Amino acid sequence: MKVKDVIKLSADLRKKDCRKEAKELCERLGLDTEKRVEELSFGNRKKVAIVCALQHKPRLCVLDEPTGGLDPLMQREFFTILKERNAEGATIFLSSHILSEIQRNCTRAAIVREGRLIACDSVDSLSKTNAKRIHIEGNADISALKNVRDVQKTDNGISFLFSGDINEFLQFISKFRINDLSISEPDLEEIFMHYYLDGGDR
Amino acid sequence: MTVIRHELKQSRISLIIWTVAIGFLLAVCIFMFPEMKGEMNEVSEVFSSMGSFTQAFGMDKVNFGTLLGFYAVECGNILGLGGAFFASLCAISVLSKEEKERTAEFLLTHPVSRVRVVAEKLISVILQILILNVVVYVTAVSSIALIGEAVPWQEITLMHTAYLILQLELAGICFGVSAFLRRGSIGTGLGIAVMMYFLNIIANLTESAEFLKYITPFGYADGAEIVRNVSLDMNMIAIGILFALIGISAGFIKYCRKDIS
Repeated sequence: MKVKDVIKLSADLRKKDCRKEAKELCERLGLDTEKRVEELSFGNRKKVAIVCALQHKPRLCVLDEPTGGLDPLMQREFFTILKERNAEGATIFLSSHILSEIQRNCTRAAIVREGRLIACDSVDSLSKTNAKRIHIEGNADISALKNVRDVQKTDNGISFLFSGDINEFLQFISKFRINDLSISEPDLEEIFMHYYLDGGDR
Repeated sequence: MTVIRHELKQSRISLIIWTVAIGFLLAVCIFMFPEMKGEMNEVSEVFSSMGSFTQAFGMDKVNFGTLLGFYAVECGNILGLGGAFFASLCAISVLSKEEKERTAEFLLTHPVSRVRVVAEKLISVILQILILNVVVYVTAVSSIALIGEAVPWQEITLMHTAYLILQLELAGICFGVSAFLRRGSIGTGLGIAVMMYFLNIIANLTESAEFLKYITPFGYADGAEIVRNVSLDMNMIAIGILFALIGISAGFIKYCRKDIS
């Protein structure tokens, strides 16, 4: 079967004429509709699935790891399409292991661990824990510092999550001679790890 | 309609090959008849004196020297066996192939109920069998007309009807089996067809095994018997149709509850 036959079959099964939309989606995703499905790579098969799932303009999409196999450019295009659909009123659920993808593209996120929902909130407020990710370049002994988690040695310093009072930290760190210091919001991945490793109690 | 169309499209090459092959073999057989007719009396004697072999193929019941006798045995075997293989192969894979080829996920995530999927797949199998039989029937009748023989309409039509019912029965049984299979369906289909064929041969050979005729559809699709009686054995056909209906019902029930991965 050719790609275009699969797409047509999907549209027929929904009893809809989606030719215009299908053509546009194929062009945007760079999908050759004359190829036979059996010859396609994993990524291209994924594109066929995406076209089949979106061509009839569904109002609700449930997508299970939709970007697997897609190259970064296609991932971006795919999320652009999803955002357009979202702006037109569609609700989109998607599962992903790539948390940066969720952070960039989703408004709400939920974390499921061992089949249980352990957190569900907007991506913004999930990211806003009181913990900060701190990178220190240089020699600093932080063993006396409290409220420290996830200490990682880097090439020329250390990195850790700090959830105490930032003023205390600044006083503490001023005793050392360091080369550089950066304090940032932890990304979703770190929050996810926090939920998974620390038993989920925030 | 979509699933029917899709199924027909997918199996059109196999349908064409089987139809052409069976039609061609039948036509060749019929075209051979005028040449053999003169020598047929001798051939007839040879054929009728091969003991149990003669019996097995029903050659003791017909006169090989007449077109009908010849057609009943030679062509009966071609259409009987060929049609049985086609119908079994066609039906045995129709429900299981989605899982084998991993397309079930695609098909069943669309807004079509399983009942509808099974019904449309069944119709597509029946349509394919009907197409094959109509083409073969027309080919046979025109070949007979072409060699200048009078077409024995009644007998030919009865014979072809019997073979059509035989194919539909086998298809119904295989259809039911198909719902239970996940892979390796083709061997099972061929196995069912061959087993039925040999059951009939055994039934022809030994009297104590004659009850087998009621199990195998080849029992009522016996060209020699049909030519002799100019009628079909309605009891056997009723049993056959019952088998087909059981198969089809099993297919529906199983497929609609099957855990498909």
